Parts: sequence; C-alpha cells; structure tokens
Amino acid sequence: MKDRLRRTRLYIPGNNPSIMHNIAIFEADTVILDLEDAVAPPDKDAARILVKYALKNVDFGKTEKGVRINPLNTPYGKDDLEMAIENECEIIFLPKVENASDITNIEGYLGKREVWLAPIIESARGILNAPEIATASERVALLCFGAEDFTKDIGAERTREGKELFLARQMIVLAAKSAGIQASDTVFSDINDLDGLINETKLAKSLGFDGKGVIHPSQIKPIHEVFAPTEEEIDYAKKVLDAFKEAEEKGSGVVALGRKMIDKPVVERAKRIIKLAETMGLLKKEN
Amino acid sequence: MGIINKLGREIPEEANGKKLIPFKGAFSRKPQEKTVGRKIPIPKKPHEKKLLKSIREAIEKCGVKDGAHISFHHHLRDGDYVVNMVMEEIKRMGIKDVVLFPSALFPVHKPLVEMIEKGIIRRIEGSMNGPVGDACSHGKFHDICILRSHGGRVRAIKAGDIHIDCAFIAASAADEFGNATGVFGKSRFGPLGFSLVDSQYADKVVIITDNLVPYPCHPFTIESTNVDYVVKVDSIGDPNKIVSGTTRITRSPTRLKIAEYAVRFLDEAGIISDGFSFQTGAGGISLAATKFIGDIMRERGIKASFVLGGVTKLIVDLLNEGLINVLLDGQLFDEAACDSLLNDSNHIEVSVELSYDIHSKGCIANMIDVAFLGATEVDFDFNVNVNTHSDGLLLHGIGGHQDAAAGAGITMITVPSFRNRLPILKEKVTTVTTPGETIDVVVTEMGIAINPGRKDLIKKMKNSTLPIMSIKDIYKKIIDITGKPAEPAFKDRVIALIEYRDGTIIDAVREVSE
Amino acid sequence: MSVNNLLSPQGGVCGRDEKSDCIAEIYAFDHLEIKIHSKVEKFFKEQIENTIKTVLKENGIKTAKVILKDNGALDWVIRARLECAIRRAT
Repeated sequence: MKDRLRRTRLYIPGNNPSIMHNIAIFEADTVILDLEDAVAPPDKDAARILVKYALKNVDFGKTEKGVRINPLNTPYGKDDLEMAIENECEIIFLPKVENASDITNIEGYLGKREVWLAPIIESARGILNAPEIATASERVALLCFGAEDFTKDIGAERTREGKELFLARQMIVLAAKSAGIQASDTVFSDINDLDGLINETKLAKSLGFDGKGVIHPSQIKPIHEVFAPTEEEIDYAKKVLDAFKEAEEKGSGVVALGRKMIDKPVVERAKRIIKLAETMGLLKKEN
Repeated sequence: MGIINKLGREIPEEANGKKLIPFKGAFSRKPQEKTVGRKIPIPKKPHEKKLLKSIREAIEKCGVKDGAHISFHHHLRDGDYVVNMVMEEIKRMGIKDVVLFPSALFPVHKPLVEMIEKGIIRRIEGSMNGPVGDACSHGKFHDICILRSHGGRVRAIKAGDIHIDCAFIAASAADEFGNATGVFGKSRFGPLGFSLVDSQYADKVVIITDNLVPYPCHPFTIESTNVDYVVKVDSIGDPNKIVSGTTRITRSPTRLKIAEYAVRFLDEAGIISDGFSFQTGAGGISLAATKFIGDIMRERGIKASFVLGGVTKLIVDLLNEGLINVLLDGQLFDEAACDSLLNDSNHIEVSVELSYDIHSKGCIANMIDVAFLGATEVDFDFNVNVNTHSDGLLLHGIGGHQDAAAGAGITMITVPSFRNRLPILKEKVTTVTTPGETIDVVVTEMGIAINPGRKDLIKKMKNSTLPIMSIKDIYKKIIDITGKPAEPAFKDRVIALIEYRDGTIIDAVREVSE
Repeated sequence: MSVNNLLSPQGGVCGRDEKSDCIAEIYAFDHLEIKIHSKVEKFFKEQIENTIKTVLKENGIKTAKVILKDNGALDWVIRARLECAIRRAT
C-alpha cells in the first residue's frame, strides 16, 4: 500500500545472513536490505544473490520488503534493480537521487509491477530538486533524507542540534506533503544514545516527518513510541470519524465537526490514527 | 539390559557397585530414614594450632589416600585456582583413584583431564563443564560419573549417598581457627553457601585462604566448629574471573524479544503483582526479563517480596530502589553485588540447602512464584536438557535447574528457537535433566507453549495476543527454517548418570560415537 | 539461469567465515566431488549435500569439485553462496 505505516525503516547489510532470519521479530515497519553503502565493491555480486534468496525465504512478518540498490550509473545498479523487482521487493530505495530523471530512468524497468520507490536525497542539488523528485512518478511513496552525505556535500559540520540540517529537513517535508506522500528522516547513528535518539525523533515528528531511518533493532521501539498518537490526537480522530459516519448515514457529502468542514485528507488521517492506536494497544479494537 | 524409568529412558541397574533407583515422578520417591552422621572428633586442646604450612601438609594430616573422596565448591567459578592446586599436589604425592565431588567445574579445570586419563581421578560426582565433560563423553573415566543438581548434591551428602573424606573449602578471608567467609578480601566471591553442607558432613575440613585475618573472622559462613585445618596460600583465584566488573543486559534482539514475551505472559496471567517473588540468574535473557519486570514494578508502584539469585548489579539496583524487599543470595556475579551483600541488611546470604534441598521441611524454591531457566533442548513432553548438546557431549552441569523447576509456581524456559542451525525443540531430548511435569511454559522468539497440564494458565491466556501455540507447532515452524537434524550416534557404554534431586536416576548418558 | 556450465579451472569462491554463513568453493573437475566441513556436520550433512547437488543440477553442472566450509548457515544461504561461486567461476 502506498501510504502504509512507515515509522521505521531498518537498514540490514545485504551481505550478512546472520541477522536476516530475525527480520519478523524486529517489527520494523520497513526493512531495507542494503546493497549500497553496507557492501564493499568486491562483495556486490554476492550480496545481490544473498538478498535475492532472503526475499524469497525469510519471514518478513508484517514488515514491508525493501532493497536499497546501487545507483543506476554504477556497474551494479541495473542488476540490483532487476533482482529486486523479480523477487517481490515491495519498495526500492534509491540512493543519492538528485533530479526527477533519476526516477523516470528507473520507471522504464518497472513495467506494470506494483513496487514503490523511495528516493534518498543526500545532496544540496537533491534538496533543491526535492519537489520535482517527489512528483516524478506515481510510484514515489516515501521521500527520505540522508544527512551524513548531505552534510559532507555542503561542507558543513554535523552537530547535535542539527541547525545545518533544518532547511533540508523542511524541504523534504514540504516536497513530500505537497505531493501527498510520506517523508522519512535520516538515521541516528549513535546506537548507545537512547535519549539522543528520542529527542531527534521528536524533532522529526514535530517537523512533519512520518518516520525515521534505523540502523539497529534496539532503535525501533523507541521511535514507534514517539510516533504514537497522543491522547488528544486519538480523541480528535474519534470525533472526526463520528462526524464522518454521521454524514454518511445522512447521505450528506459534507462532513462537519461543529462549524468546521472536514475534508477527505483529515478523515483519512483520522482513520490512520485510530488504526495506529489500535495496533499499538492504545485503543481497544471497536467497529 | 537395563530398566526403563517413568520417562521411558533406559538406565543401568547399578553403577559403581551401587544399585540404582529409576525416576518415578518429581514427587514420588520416599526418602531414606535418617541423615547420616560423622565421627565425633577428638577434642582439640585449648589454643591448639590448626594453621598448616602447605596444602601438602593438609593432605597428609587429613589422611588422604588412594580412593579418597574429596569435595570443592565453585564459588570462584572460572577464576578458581584451588581445585587445580590441591589436585596437582595429590598428583605429586602419587595418590590415585580419587573420587571428586565438586559442586561445579569450569573450563579453568582443564588440567584435570590429564589426571582423569592417568587414573588419578576415577570419577566425578556432582557437576562437570567443558573439557572435563568432554573427556567424560569420550569414555575417559574409570567409573560412571554422576551429575546432580545443587539441591540434589546436598540431599546425597545428608543421606549418605556421598561420603566426603576431605572437603577443601576456598575462602577469601579466614582466621587461623577456621571461621571463614567469601564476602571480603582481594579474592572475594560472595556467599559460601555451597560449602556449608560439606563443612557439616565431611570427615575432614580444610580451609584454604589467601587472606588470614585476626580471630574471629567476621562475618563468617563456615564455622570453626567444623574445621580441622587452615592453609594460607598466595592466591585462591583470579579476581577478574571470579567476579566481573559489570554484567550487561543482552543487546541481541532475539533474546530481548524472548524476555519481552516472557514478562508479558506473566503480566497477562496476573502474576506480576504486589508481593510476588521470582528467581533469576546472570544469563542474558534472565537479566533482560528482570529489567522488564523492574520497569513494570516501577511504573505501577508494586514491590517484589523477595528475589532469589544469581545476584548481579541489576537486581541490587532494584533492591536499592525499594522495588524488592529482600534479596536472597545463593551466589553472586559482580562487584556491585559483592558490595551490597557486605553492606545491605536486606541482602542475605542463603545456603544451597535452604534454597533447594528436597529433603528439607520446605526450601526457598517452594515459595518462588516464577523461575526463569534455560535449556540446550526441550521436547514435546516439555522435558528439558541442560547437560548435553545435541551432539551428545556432556558440556554443562545441572545447577539449580531441577530444584527451581520443581518448586516454582511457574517455571519458564526462555530459549532461542535455534542456535547455529540446531533447533532447541526436539521430539525427544538427547538427555533428560528436568522432567516435563515441572516445566510450565516454553518461550521462544517464534512462539510460546504452555504445558497442557497447566489448564489454569491455558484458561488465563485464552484471549492473549501473544503467539501462544502447541509445542509441536513451534517445532514445525523451526524445522521449516532449519531442516530436521539427524540424531547423534552413541555407543552402548554408559559414562554418566543424571540423578534427579530425589536421588533417583532420570537418564543415562552414553559414550559418543565418532 | 546460465546454461553455460563451463567452470574455469581457477574456480569461484563466495561467502564469509562467520556465524550463520559459509564459504562455497567450486572448481572444474573431471568428476563430482563434494567436501563438506561444517560445525553441524553430524546433523545436517545429508541435507547440505542434497542442497549442493540441487544447485549444481539447476545450473547444469555435472562434474565439479565443491568445497563447503559451513558455520551453521541455513539452506537458502548455502544456495546463495554456491550460486555466487558458480557465477564467479563461469
């Protein structure tokens, strides 16, 4: 589904089988079998074949199957892409995307398959072209931010508060939301710093991000908890859905909450919040 | 030719010249009439010296000869020097055919293998680990070895099934009259609970310490009334391996998941409530489960009435936080636990007899609500193996497994579903350590199985969202991933017996065929 | 799948000497020889052998020298590493 829950996208090195058979236990929303930065050039072919078998044999549970391929202009990209789409990969992560043509070039290979694209923007040019990247194809479902390479690209220094990333983050969110798709924030690399992770995730949520990159399974639960809907959000969502039901029963095309008109995206968001609340055990399942 | 016991395992009729009793059920055997006594010692004259110059002198004065029965404790774990020092001296003195009664052995005791091969040691009763167990599995002992649980070892001593000629008790502090402890000193290790019964029943008792203190040593666990001699050595062990700096909770996602499932299960079954109690150890999953329980107690403002450990910093922190009323300590594993035992009056040393002995008027295990235990294998009848790996090699002792499982209100086996492609679940375990009737729940990351005999738990968990399924279904899930392993091959020769805590024989271990 | 099953004499190697992984080596040979060194030989030797034979068959390879050094790798991992070794050897 194009806008399924993507609070966490967990990177798993593509040439390392030992953690792959645990994918279902991690309970990440999306897993990214990584053929790019996690794999050294001599191992690219081995990783590609291993990931092919992993896609076919490992239990992903409720987790979305993702692969990060190498860029198409490398010797590996096309073979990675072919392998991924022939083996039921659900979402393809494209690194170092800079313009719309990076997306449209890929489209040609995809045929009629249902597979989503998740461009990772990691450079200044990519950030400036974010709006056109987000709308380059109906298949683009998730716009991701890669801060590490971005900071290097602009010659800035990575800081804890991330001032150097503010505009880039907001561009990603603006581009994604105006295109009606999701935005995912960059990974937090210090796996021993739980407080730091939670703070950065809270920042991402407040900026409008729908999720965050993950490099270790221990980061998944804390991030999910940050993205959990608050009591106020759940109450409001309930009211919206009640208003929607009322309108449906009346046969009215207009949904109203008090004096306010509620349009479709708000209703959809309310449905998602209720569903998320139920999944996280914050709300008992009702009809 | 042998007898088939209640679990369908074939055991020999006799071993080492004694008739064997087959396992009949966890609470079925009638005990012997009385405990044994020992010779009343010739009174020591006032101010008579007990301090000897060397281990050799102690061995001589204690009359240790060929065929002697000697015991040791394992509180020094893999940092122990004492067992090797004493046995080295015995070897030098040309003594042979010794029977060893350690409460457990560790990889550091590898030098014993050579002595086994040379017949200096004819058998070991109690516990084996690593290289010594491997030697046993390859038929290197003269006699059949016997493995016992911590509680079972106490029972055997008290009932006279084991006779100890000489007990060598390592202590981190002792006075020259023989009062001894493990709670302070450069080589401190905490409680001396494993040796208490040895000191009370052995014919001769020798304290070996690297820290002689002025009389009276206090606090003390071993009383001078039971001690014949004291020897001072330079070092009883390696402090870095006796207690660790810190024990960490596992980071493994699989183990964390298993711990999470276990604690959620207990919570949903209504077990985690004010005043409940549990037993824990230093294993990765056990520690993680303890942490999660601590989180729940903190959140809801409830307290545990007591915890029996296996004590580490994690539990000491919970004690300090006021989340546990009393910490009962059978053995400890790190520096923080050691400090706490010494200084906190709510952290109490308990002997293994008090914790686990079946032939008592009730042991601590009988009062525990939950025990978290491990396994190398579990089968469809919920029988548990902790002694051998799937290849049949004897690599672990029983520890308190049988005892805790028999006593605890809920016994949870928390294990990964497979290790190195080898499934933990099997149709029949290679060796039975603990009978299925005492095992209540098996928790793996792939599913949770409740013993069909626990209808009360099954009822309580009816509407749970946890992945509860039959043990056969978990097995099928695992086999789908790993494939079904072949069975190991054994020779006919029985090389060890697994004794249940009541003295009956629950299984026999045969020599591996390679 | 490659129909061309001409293995080079230098052969192909793929995999890592790590937990749950294996190293597969394949060389041109005048008959079929399979050598397995595995931590779990006692339990899975037959299965591993069958897996290797299946992969060879799927790739149209009738004769070869195959050496597998295994650290408890699951079936699909062995297949992946062997397939990669074959590709590297062709």
